[in-house]
Amino acid sequence: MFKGVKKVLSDFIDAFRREIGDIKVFDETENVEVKILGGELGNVNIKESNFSFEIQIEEESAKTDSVSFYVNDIELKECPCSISDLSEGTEVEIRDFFSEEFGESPNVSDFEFEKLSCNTRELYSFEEFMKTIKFVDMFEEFNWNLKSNEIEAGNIHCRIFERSIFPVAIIKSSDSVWANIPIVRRKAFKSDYSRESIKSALEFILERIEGHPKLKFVGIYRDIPLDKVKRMNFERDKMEFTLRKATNMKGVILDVLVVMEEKAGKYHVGPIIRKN
Amino acid sequence: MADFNAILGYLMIHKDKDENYTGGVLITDGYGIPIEFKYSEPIKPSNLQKILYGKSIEKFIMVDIIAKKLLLSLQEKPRFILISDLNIISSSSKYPIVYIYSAAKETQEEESFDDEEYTVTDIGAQLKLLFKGKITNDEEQWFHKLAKEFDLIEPFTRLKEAVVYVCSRE
Repeated sequence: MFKGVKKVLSDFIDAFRREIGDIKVFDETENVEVKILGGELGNVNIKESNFSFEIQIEEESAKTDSVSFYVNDIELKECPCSISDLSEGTEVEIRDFFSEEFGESPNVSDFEFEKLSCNTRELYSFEEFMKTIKFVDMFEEFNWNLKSNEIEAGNIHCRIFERSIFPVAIIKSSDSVWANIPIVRRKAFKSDYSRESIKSALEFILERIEGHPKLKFVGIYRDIPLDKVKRMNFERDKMEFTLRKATNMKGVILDVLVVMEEKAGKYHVGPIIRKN
Repeated sequence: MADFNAILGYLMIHKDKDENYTGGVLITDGYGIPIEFKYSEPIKPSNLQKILYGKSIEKFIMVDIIAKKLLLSLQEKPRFILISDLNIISSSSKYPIVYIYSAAKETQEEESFDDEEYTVTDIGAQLKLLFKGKITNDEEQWFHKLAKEFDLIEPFTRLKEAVVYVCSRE
């Protein structure tokens, strides 16, 4: 019977080949069906396949699977597979796929697939489950080096990814991430500082500036860890500063008065003492 | 001056447009200076997990998976954990969890949060705290003192930036 089907198919394809040139027939499995999809002759593709496989999972792992199929130049017309859930013994049969489920490949949308017919038992809503299945690189030349977690069945190669039913959070720590994110300080009220304090802070700055440049008052900012600051940035009503790494040690926290040397565009910072 | 030894925790779970959940906890001193930062690698629930957990998947991932593990991983011992998202207020932690929000930006969500177990306290005219049970007068004064020293909500901005960054990097 199979030979008969093949002969019919060959004739059919020969006829098409005469019309549109290169057409390939894939798969040697039984129950071969040929379906021609696509609106334009130039895009005609033949889809055929029929295979099944079962995913084995180690008993201890209590995991379920999502399955990615990698198919060269072929889409699955019919693809039953079963997934054994060890705790439930549940089987899911996958018989066909919606084209929109196929993932990123834009070419996929050129094709139509029969509506998903599925046979789910008990646990899974099949339509939802299907979304975990991705078709990738469907139109690339077949060039798969099978890995240990891949299954070969006819012309169809499957890769199996195991995922836990329960998501697991992997916790990491980082100094460099937060060290690069600026800390914001708003301007403090001048009224929180005595005239003497402001004067002292200005004197502190002037003692360290050569000459007598014209200075512009920028603002007073509270609680700046001066010995940890890597970079400061001033905006209209706020100051931002970043810290050096490994700053989780106690340091000097000071209120600061900031002035700008207008001509040179330099900022000068002097410590200032707050009123009690 | 603020209590330099005061340690606050800021907890946030970020969900991006691709449904990746990434959590972060930033521990600061009493001036908002970071002293510890932990984050979780992004978690994207599979469709099977969505089916199994249904509508509770988001809360499950945020509260039971990410927040719980983040808080367990802390080396510092914050006096309070501040959050800016009511969805994670039920996170289990040995540290009291306090939802902090601007009084000016009180949303319907906060107004409609009607759980007798929770109490709201004003911190000055600007901030409100929502927490389970009650805080003592001392604790309330402590918050007042810290709020005078630095913007208690500002670290959330940094934390979000950090979490989004690690999410994009992972």
